[in-house]
Amino acid sequence: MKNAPNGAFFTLRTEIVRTFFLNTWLSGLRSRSFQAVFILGILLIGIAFLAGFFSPRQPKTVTLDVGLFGLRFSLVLLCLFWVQELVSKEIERRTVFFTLSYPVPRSHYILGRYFGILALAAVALLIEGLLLWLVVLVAGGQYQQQFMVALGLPYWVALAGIWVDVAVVTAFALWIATLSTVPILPLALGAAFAIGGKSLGPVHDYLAQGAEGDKTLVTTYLPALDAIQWVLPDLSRLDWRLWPMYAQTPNTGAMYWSVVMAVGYAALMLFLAVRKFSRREFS
Amino acid sequence: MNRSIAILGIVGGLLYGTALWRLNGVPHAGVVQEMQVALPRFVQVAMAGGDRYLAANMATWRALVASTENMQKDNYVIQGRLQADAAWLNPSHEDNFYVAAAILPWYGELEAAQYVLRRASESRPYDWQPALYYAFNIYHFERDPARAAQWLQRAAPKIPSENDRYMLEGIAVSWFEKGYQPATAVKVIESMAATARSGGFKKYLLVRAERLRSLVTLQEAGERYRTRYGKPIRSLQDLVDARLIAAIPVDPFGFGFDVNADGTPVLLTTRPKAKQ
Repeated sequence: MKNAPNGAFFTLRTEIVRTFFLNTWLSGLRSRSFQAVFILGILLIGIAFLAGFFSPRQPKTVTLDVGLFGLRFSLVLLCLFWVQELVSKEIERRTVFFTLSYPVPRSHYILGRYFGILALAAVALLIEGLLLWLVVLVAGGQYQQQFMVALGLPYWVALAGIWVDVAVVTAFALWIATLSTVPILPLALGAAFAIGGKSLGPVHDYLAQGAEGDKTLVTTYLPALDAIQWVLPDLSRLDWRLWPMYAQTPNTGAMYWSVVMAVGYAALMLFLAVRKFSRREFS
Repeated sequence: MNRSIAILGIVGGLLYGTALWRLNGVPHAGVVQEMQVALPRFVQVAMAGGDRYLAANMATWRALVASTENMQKDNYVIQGRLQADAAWLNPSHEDNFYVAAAILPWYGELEAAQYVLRRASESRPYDWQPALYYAFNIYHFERDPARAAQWLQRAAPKIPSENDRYMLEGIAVSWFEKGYQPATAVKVIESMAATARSGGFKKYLLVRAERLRSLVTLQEAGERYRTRYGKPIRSLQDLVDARLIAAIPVDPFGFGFDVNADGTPVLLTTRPKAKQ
């Protein structure tokens, strides 16, 4: 089956993308995995609140720190489940045929799904973010920590960083979904990509700073890691939590280029996804 | 088939029962579980899902929950390594530098403590405490008040608050003028306890301050003994016999006090082995 008008690859018809976007939105909200992972996110915020009790000096900071980890973790999982349910399983169950039987470009299906998932992620992030914000306010009880967390603009900027991070992971998972015949693959590879991308920065720093004197480790792995950065984006650059946690204003130039890197990488992944999906033979 | 399964069950049950009976007689290794291993930094990051800040939190929690009552020298080496890793992962972590300052140098891990405090001081320019503890370690453990004061004076201009700056400069001047004074250590630990949140760690610091007060009392009595008799004490009982103290103080940690080769009272940092 190969009936899509591929000539429309670069001609964007927004009303069609919007239809797929709304369809994604409704299907995403109805999916059980959304409800399960959303509950997981709320549980992680609860864990963040409890983590604050471990801190003798900065309970709010620790709650915020662990809470931001929980937010990213649950959001990445949510997006991967959505990609799995709304793209991979549609291909596996062949329900995608009903959609593709309409005279619409296949690219619009992918774009609609992508932006729909990002919108769902934004709403989930906003809800969980507001909840974490309240939890951080009450964390620590009566104890007044000496250096307060910044829950204004720095906090929302840190959340925006998580959203951009998730947008990159989703684009990658979407590309995997278009070429995979197994629905679990986008979830598994997407999770590995999210962990790998996030680890890249600290591991690169570790090697670049001499790996605690282990010269063999540096000479063996640093060149490889430099090469990997061209394939795997350094997602730790989108982590701006030091700003709300310790009032350390991030370098605006580095922030700007990190967002450019993320947008560029996501666009590249979307291009590959659309290209693969448009040429894919469904039998 | 049923017979084979029955035999398998009986053999399994016998093996399990025998192993359980034999293991009951074998004591568990007497080391603190939390402080047995320090994984490489990149493994810690991977285990935290790639999140370096969570990895720093996890390392700090391990240091916080470790019970110092049962720790030996090797365990403190691991704790030093772990806290240095946490400082590398997130140098601004307030609990990490605070716990490091309160524990590590007192148990022989001065180098690790200074690494953690130096990193914290650099990444927290608004906070005078890492600089103060770093300088205090030079003052107290290296017994070098002049260098400690110089370090404080170098750190003071970085502190944004004028009051905090004056306070650090005041401490630096006093160290320059008066040289080393044992009672300073008590004040530092008491001030750490005063600003900590209520809980186990605050109590731990208060007990530490009490031990140090007892030590200062013993050291002052030791000096008086030396002045009076022209020789150092050989045991703490000499101070009681000379009526310089009423009794040897009880260490709330149960480690006790001892006298070093110079005849100066010192703290024991591990539980003394039971006499055979």
